[in-house]
Amino acid sequence: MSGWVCIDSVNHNYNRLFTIDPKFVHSFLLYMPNSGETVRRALIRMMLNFLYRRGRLDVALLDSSLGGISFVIHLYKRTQSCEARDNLFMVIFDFVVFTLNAGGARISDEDATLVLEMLRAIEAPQHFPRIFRLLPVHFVKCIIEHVYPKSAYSKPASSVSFMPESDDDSGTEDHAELPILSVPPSVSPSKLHEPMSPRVVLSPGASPPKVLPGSAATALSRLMTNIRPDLVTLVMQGFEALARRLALVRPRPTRNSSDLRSLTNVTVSLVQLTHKHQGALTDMLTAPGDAPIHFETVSTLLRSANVEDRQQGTVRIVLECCHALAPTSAQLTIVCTATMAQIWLFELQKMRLDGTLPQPLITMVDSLYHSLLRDENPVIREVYLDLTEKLALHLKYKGQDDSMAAFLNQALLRIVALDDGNEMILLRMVNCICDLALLCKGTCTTQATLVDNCVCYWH
Amino acid sequence: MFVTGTESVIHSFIHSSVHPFICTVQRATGPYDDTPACDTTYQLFLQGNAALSQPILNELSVTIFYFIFSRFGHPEYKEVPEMLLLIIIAKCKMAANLEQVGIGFFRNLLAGVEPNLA
Repeated sequence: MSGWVCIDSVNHNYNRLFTIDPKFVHSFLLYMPNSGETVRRALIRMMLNFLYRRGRLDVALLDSSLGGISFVIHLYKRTQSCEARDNLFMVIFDFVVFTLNAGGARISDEDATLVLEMLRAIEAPQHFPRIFRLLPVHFVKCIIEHVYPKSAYSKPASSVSFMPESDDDSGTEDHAELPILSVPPSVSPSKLHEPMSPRVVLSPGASPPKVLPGSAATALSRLMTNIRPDLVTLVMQGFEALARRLALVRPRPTRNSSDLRSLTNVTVSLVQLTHKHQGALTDMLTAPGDAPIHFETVSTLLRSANVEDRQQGTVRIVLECCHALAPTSAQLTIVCTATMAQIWLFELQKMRLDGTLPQPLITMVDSLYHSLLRDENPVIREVYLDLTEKLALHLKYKGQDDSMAAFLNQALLRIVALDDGNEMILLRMVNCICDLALLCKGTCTTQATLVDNCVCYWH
Repeated sequence: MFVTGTESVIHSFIHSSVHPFICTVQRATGPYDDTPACDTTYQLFLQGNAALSQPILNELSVTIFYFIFSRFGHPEYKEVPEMLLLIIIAKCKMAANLEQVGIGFFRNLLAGVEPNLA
């Protein structure tokens, strides 16, 4: 896509970079998960220099040597660096545009650039990792709510006030004030791209309260839906399809939603069996050595150096329990990957949070969920955090911020109670809190200038 | 930075025509010197340039932050304890939270080996 110039292209080491095989970069990123953000950011920058060496996204190189778009999304979900998120977001966006154009959409570079800038104006690169962790039902609406959560409007914090706009112009809604961030010049120029419009720096208390004509969220929503709606919708659909295909069921595409329903039905029958064999499932998970399952296989998988194998180990624990309880059920064979097992457990926990899970299932689902946390393997314990984050996002998407925070609090306190001091688990806890609590970053446009910037772009 | 004649022309062209519309081309002294280290959420939070939801932080128990702070020692993420400490201090403005953590925790920080935390 047009609009891409890598900053290292003016560096004298730029050409030396291309003397190495890009697979090295991929390998470093893949096998150095504990490296700091500075190292990862530099590697990602090198990866992008390879991908955009010819001025456009080299999709063939991405697929052949750099792990494909699924690897890019994996990095995007994990990294905490603003620059790395920006860069990876660009790759994902260009891949979406490439895919849509390959399907006959005919999105021009100019149009794509405009949509990209609009997404960047709402800090989408910083907030989309949530989207790829759990895709919300109302995609565009949730983007706006992510960037401008209702909680941000609830407490007066600074000198600029927003007047929430109502469709009927009744004017009955209260004014809500937004926090204003002072953005020092030293922070802003760290990215590959800069917004096309100038940034406005607002200092707390520098000026008297300024009443804006309407809420940024409403105005942005109108912009996104009225101006070139076909284009915006197309790109959003592309993201949605990409996220659904890659972020949720990456190792193996899901078949259809009826699979999960079938599995849930199977689970109901499993629970009935569980009640006949008191505590069998719990025993298997907590004392697998005594359980009639193929624990040697599971143990081998869990000790493997390969992440996929370890994830397979996770699912084998669940599967073996299920098979032991319902060995004749052919439907269980649909669960073949760790991701599917996680989705299955997530769906059940989601039903539990929504209050739609049958009462007999609750104990079993909780047992499975919390058993992950007690596992010796930290990779499996991370699955617990993955699920916790997704469930918290589920509550957040529903607008239940209070419930979300309470749920997160309970889940994290369980880790504290078990005194899990694993470095990666601790880091994941911090990241989970930061990602869920993040409102906005001062490096991007403030909420007060958002509408003006968008209008500037589109007219 | 060493720039050849051709690169200089290209650089000037990019700066004059492309730069205002599309991107930032930064002069650098090294391959990784062109981006400041302050780039992650934690670092931006420490600088006051990232906003975290106060209701969510309020809802989370101070025990969680205290636990992570006391166990965390990842050498590549030295700013995380600082961020956690700021949150703990903010939460300890409530007497109940301060009782949970204990004033001794803060006294011990003064005697610690980390000057930034002290």
